[in-house]
Amino acid sequence: MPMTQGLLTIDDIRVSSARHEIVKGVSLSIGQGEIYGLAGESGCGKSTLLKSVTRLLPPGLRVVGGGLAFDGIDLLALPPEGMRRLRGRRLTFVSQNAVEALNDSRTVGAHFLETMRSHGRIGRKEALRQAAELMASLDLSDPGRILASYPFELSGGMNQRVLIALAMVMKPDLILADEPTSALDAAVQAQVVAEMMGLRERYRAAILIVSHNLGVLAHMAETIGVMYAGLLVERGPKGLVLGLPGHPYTRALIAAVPDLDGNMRDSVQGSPPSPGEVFPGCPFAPRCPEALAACAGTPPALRQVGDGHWAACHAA
Amino acid sequence: MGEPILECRDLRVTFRKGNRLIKAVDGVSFGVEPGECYGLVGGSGCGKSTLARLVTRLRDADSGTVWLEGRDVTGVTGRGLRAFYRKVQMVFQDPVASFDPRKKIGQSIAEVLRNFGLAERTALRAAINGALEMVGLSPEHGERLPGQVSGGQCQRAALARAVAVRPRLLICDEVTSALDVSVQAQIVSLLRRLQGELNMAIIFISHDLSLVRCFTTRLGVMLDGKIVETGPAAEVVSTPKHEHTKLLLSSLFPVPRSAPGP
Ligand SMILES: Nc1ncnc2c1ncn2[C@@H]1O[C@H](COP(=O)(O)OP(=O)(O)OP(=O)(O)O)[C@@H](O)[C@H]1O
Ligand SMILES: Nc1ncnc2c1ncn2[C@@H]1O[C@H](COP(=O)(O)OP(=O)(O)OP(=O)(O)O)[C@@H](O)[C@H]1O
Ligand SMILES: [Mg+2]
Ligand SMILES: [Mg+2]
Repeated sequence: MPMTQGLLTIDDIRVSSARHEIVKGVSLSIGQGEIYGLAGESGCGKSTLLKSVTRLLPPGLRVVGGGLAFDGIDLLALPPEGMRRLRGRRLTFVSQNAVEALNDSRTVGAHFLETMRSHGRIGRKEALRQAAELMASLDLSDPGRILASYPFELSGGMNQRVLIALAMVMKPDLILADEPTSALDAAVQAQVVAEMMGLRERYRAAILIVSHNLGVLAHMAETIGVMYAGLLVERGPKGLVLGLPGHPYTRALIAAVPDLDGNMRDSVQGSPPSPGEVFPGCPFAPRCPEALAACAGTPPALRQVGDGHWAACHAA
Repeated sequence: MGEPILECRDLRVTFRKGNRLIKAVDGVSFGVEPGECYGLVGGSGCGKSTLARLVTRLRDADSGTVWLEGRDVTGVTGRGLRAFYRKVQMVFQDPVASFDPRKKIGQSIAEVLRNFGLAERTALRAAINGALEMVGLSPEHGERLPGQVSGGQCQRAALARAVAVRPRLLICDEVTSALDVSVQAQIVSLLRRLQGELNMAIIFISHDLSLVRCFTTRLGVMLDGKIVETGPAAEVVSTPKHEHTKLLLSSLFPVPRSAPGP
C-alpha cells in the first residue's frame, strides 16, 4: 500500500499486553492541516493506537512492532525527556477519560499554568487570560469560575472542554483527540468542533480524531478510517467511506445510527472475537451477513476499491 | 395511570464557588411510571447529573422531596438506604471512577450480588459471567482491573453491575456515550428487554437526541437547573416548543446515509 510521507506516519504498528496482541498492525498517515477521523467497534484498539503515538500506554501494554514518525522524528527512539517536550506542545492528546487525565486536587487554572509555563515563557496573568479566552470560545460561559474550580466541581462536559482547551492552548501541530465530544450536547459540540477546525485554518494544525459520532467525523474529517478487532479494515475519503462503504462492518455501523424519526437498527448480531482468540480468516466473518467461503480461510488485506479508498474484504 | 415509581417534588441545590452561586437544580418536579423510560436531555452543565445524584440519594437536596413507590425517601439512611438501592440503581457518567481501581471488575460485580443476596456462593461465578455476557463482554474481562479495559467496555461493565441487581428503577447517565453505534443498538435492545421482563423503569440521560427519541417514551429538556419542556419524546423532537430544544435539534451533524448493502 503506498504511503505518503506525512506529518505523522504510523507504520504497521503493533501493541501487545502480556497475553494478547491488541493493535495488530495498523498503518496510516496524516499530513499537515489534515483531519483524519477514526471510528470502530468498542474495544477494537483506537485508544491504544493513540496512546502508542503519545507514548502514554498504561503499564502492561507495549509496542512490539512497527514504526512511528512525527515530522521526521522517530517517536519510538525518542528518549522520555524529548517525548515530554514534544507532547503538550507540538503534539497533544485529548484523553477519552477526562476525569483520569485531570488532577482532582488541582484547580483548572493550575493545569493551564503548568502546561503553558513548562512549554514556553509566559507570565501567570497573561497565561490565565489566554486560557480564559480559549475556554470562552468553547462555550464555557464563566471562565473565571472554571479556572478557580477543581475538576470534581465541574460537569462531565465541562471537564471534557477543559481537556480540549489544554490540548489546544499551545497551538500544536497535531492533536490526537480520543472521543473529544462524547460528553457534549449538540450545540456545544458544534461550537467545539468549529474551534478545533479553526485551529487547522489558522495554524495548519492536523487532527486525528476518534469518535463514535459518525456525523462529527463526516463534518470534520477529510479521511475516515474504520477499525475492527485491532485492524484498520477500511480507509478513504469520507464521501466514499460513508457514501459507498467497502466493508460490511462499515455498512452495519452506518445502518445502526439512530435517526430523528425513531428508527434504529440492531444491525450486527453477536460479539467481536474475544481477546486472544485466533482466527485464520477475516475477524468479522463470524458476524458478517455477506461472508463467503474464503472469508473463514485467509485474512483479507486492504485493497483498493475506489479512488484513495481501501477496504479489507474478500467480497469488496 | 397508577402510582408512579418515582416522584420528585421541587428539588433544589445551589453550589457556592467564590462569590458565584450556581443553581444546579432549581425547582425540579417530575414523576416516572413503573416500566416507563423517561429521557432527560439538556445542555452541558444544566444540572442533569446533579439531579440524578439527588434522586439516587448520593447528595442531599437543599430542599424538596423524593418519593419512591409512594414513600418519602428523602432522608432515608442505614437499612432504609440499603432497601432503596435494592430497587434503585444508577450507572454513572464516568464509569471508571465508579469502580474501585484496585478490584477486578468481576469482584466488584460479585460484591453487589452478595450484598443483596442475589447469588448463592456456588453460583456466583456463573452469575458474574452471565451479567458480563449480557452486555457483550466475556468472562475474561471480569478478570481485569477497570483501567485495563476500553472506555466502552468499562461503561458496559458498570451497566452489567447495575442491572445484576434487577432494580425497579435504573438511572443511566450517558450510558452509551463511549459505545459505537452498533454496540449501542445492542445495549438499547438489552435495556428494552429488561424493561419488559422486570417492568423496570429507566431515567435515560443522554446528549444524543436521536437515541433518546428512539428509546424513550417521554422526555424532559433541562436548561439552567429547570425542566423547560416536557412531553412525549416523538412530539418534543418533531415539534419542539422551547428555544433551547430547537437549538439542540438544529445543531446536530447529520450522517450521510449510504445506499443499502447487497
Ligand atoms: N492494560 C490492558 N491490559 C489488557 N488488555 C487491555 C488493556 N487495556 C486495554 N485492553 C484491551 O485492549 C482492547 C483495546 O482497548 P482500547 O481502549 O484501545 O479500545 P477502544 O477502541 O478505544 O474502545 P472504546 O471505543 O470502547 O474506547 C480492548 O479489548 C481492551 O479490553
Ligand atoms: N460539587 C460541586 N461544586 C460546585 N459546583 C458544582 C458541583 N457539582 C456540580 N456543580 C456545578 O453544577 C452545574 C451542573 O452540573 P452537572 O454535572 O449536574 O451538569 P450536567 O447537566 O450533568 O452536565 P454534562 O452534560 O456536562 O454532564 C455545573 O455548573 C457544575 O459546575
Ligand atoms: Mg477508547
Ligand atoms: Mg453530567
